[in-house]
Amino acid sequence: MKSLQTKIFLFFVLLLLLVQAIALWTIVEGNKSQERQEITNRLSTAKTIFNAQFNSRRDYLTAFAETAAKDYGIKQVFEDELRSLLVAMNNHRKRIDADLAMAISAKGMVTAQLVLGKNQAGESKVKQGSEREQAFRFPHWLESQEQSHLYVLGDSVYQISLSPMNVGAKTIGWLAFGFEINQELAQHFLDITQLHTDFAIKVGDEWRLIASSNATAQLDFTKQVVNGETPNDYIAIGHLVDEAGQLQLALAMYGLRADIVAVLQEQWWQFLILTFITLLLSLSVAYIIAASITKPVKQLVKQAKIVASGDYHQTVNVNDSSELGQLANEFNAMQSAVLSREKAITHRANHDPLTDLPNRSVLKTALQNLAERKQAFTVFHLNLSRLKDVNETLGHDVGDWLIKAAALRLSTLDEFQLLCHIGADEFVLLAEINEHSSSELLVSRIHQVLEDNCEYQGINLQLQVRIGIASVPEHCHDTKSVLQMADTALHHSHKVSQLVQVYHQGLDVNSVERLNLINDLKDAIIDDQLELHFQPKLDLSTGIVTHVEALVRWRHPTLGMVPPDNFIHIAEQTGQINALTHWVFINSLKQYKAWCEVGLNISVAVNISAENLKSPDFYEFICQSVDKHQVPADKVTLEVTESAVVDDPEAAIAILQQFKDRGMRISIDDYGTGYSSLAQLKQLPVHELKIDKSFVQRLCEDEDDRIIVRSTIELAHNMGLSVVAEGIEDEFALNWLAKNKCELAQGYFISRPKPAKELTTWLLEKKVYAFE
Amino acid sequence: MRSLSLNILILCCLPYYAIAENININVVDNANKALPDMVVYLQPEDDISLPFNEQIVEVGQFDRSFTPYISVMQLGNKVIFKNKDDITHHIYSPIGDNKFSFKINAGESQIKRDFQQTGEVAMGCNIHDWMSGYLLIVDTPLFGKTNENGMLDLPMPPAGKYQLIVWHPQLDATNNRVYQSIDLSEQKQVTIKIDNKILKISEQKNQEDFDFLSDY
Repeated sequence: MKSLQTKIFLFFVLLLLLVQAIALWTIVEGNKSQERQEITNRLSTAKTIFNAQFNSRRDYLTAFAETAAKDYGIKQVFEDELRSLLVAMNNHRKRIDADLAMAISAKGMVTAQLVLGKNQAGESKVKQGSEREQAFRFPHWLESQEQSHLYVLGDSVYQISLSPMNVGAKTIGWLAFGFEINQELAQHFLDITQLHTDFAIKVGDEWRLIASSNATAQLDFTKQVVNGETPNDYIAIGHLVDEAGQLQLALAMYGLRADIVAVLQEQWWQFLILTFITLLLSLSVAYIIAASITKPVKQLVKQAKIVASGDYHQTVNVNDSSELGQLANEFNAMQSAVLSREKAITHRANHDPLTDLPNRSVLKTALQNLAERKQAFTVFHLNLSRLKDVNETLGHDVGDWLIKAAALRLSTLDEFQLLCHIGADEFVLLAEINEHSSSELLVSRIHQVLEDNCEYQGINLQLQVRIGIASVPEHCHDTKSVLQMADTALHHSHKVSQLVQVYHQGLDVNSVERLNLINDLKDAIIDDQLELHFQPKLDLSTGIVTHVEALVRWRHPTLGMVPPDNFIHIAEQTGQINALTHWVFINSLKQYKAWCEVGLNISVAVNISAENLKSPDFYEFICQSVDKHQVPADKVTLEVTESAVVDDPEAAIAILQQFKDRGMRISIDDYGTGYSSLAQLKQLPVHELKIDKSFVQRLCEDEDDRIIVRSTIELAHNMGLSVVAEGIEDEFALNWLAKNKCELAQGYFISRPKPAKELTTWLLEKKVYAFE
Repeated sequence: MRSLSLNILILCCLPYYAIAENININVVDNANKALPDMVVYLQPEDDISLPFNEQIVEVGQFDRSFTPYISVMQLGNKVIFKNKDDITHHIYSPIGDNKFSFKINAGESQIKRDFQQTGEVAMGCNIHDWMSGYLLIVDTPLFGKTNENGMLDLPMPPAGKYQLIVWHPQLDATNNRVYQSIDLSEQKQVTIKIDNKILKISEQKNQEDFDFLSDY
């Protein structure tokens, strides 16, 4: 794994290796050049030493020869007998330990020659040279200013200096003294320079090795060095001393390279070991540094994993003031920021932004908890009435303000376990059921807190709510359904314009049973599960029943009697309404004929749905049916709700006009509950208004209703329409309507809807009503 | 013995020489430039006897040098070595047939009359190394040194053939001599052209600047 630690460590390793390599290279190069320099220095120093020593010998000889040549004693015996001269010369020779002493006469003859040699015992011994009485071999030297020369005598080579012996300006002869160039000299140079020294001479074309400090010296080797070559494994320098073209003295100084660099080599090993140790140490330090850098990073990584898992309560602790320490602090700060933000998000997810009350998701959780505890509870689904009006008239700000006001007041209720704001104007209150509380009490508490009007900038606003109520386990067992039920109840309260509605099964038009009904409805028509009931309409002018309203009933094979409200709605939504209406219409016509046969002349009213009006062949069907059954058109009343016309007034009006033209009667059903638009009423081609039962049911006690009904009757009459009142449940209403010239009356007080057979009997027996 | 007979000869001829004319000798180099201080002497080739030249030759030492540098004498002449300096000289000649050596104290003289052989006597001073002097001993009374004009007048000897010899210690020739035969019955004026070079005459001066003592 390429962890940060490994990377840092590798980086350090590479860096260190690089640095060490550079250092090593530098030192290697430095050493090499130092070695070269040292060798060069050494060789040139050796050469310089040689030259200095060689010249110094020469100068020494010259000075000495000059001194000796001025010696009066030797002058006196110069031409005398040989023995005296030899003794005198030897006395001089000994002073400087010269290897050669010569006297040359003015005529160029060697008059005396002393050579230091060794006898067989190895002792130094002076003897006369072989050249006595011979001409000096280099007469031109005598004339030359140059006093120093190389002189070959036998196998030996001497460095000599000549000095003239003068009497006044007269040169009477020469004296020469010489040092031999021998092994001793070579050894001397070896001692000084630590370099072996070879001497070779070239006489004519031939080289000859004459002396060396090296016992195994080879002429070839010497020549090689003199020619400027350096044999392998050696350091060497050569030098040539020219003797006026006749003689060349060659010098080779050399040594084994290994001996010279041995010291350097040893330093090398020490350096390498030192380098290795340094490298190891620095790598260890690098490892520790890498570990110490990455340790807090690792801590942070670990902490990040913990945070990722959702645990925000641990903090990371890095005791480090560096950036990593700061990072750790920032990390902790971030963690708490994330925590608070997450809390805020969670809060927002669970609360309504406007009222800050728990929302639907909290509600669900709460319901689940209750369900798990098997706790009986009641759901109150509240809807603020007329909020839409407020929004439209006073603006949404006021609407929101109103919602908040409501929320505030509701939140003061402590009888409830939970208050949720689940939508714009909808609240849900949860109350656990116990013996001390009842739904009625709780509803009254709700109404109580909302009772007082709210004042918003001088405007009095009423906080009215509708409440749908459902309970577990009274109505259902699962939490999801109970909300739906409360909602259904609320919905229903709207429909029926009530403030409070407790759920009951009848409300549930969307229940599972309803779904089954959808399928079953088709069969119902075919299998003759439908029945027609008829509710009589009493003619208030004559007191006899002249009309009936056909009402369909469904006797479900398993569910029993299904209320029409349930399945008619389904039929409308599933496109079966035409079939249903057809069935009702045909059977109503048949019943009319049946009544005709027993002498009853009863007009039949059939409810027409909005969907029927939209059907293109509906008119044709009605006309054909009427013709087919030979029923007079004016005996047929089509009851249409006001709302059926609303969707497409023109088309609806057109078709109704057709019916009217055909002679059929048109009645506006449930008049007064819809818009009751007079403008529309004026246009509608209708014959009668059917006042909704909600106005009629309480005619007895409600003065307002009486006014409404009376006004409506008057209005209808003035417009040339007759009036039907339904919902007559007491005698007062019947009498009052009769008195107020209402044409027809319908209601339980007269008769419930009855099957045709039963009603026929009732009709035949029925006496004529007499009104007060 | 030989010197005695010569003495007699010189004595006999003296009147003749006294009245006789001089022979004029001119020594020039090859560029006809006069060569001064050249020793010229005549040696008769024929059997001519000449009188002994009775004179005393003085070889002085003055100012740490031989004065004159070159002296010439007939064998048998007396030589006075006169030290005119205020310092001792040690005059010597270590080579040849006329070796000698003696010290002369300041202001003193030493007479030497025992030179036995003709020839060149190169002299030095053992104390003053640079001092150099020559004494040429000839076996004829006819000798002299050219003056600054290279001229030398010698008394006219009897007519006959002579060997005229020019010598100078630095004359680059065999034995430092140039020879020429002349017939004195015919000529009285002789010019000798020397083709040989005169080598450099070393100055009789202390080579080192030995100044720490003025009197040494």
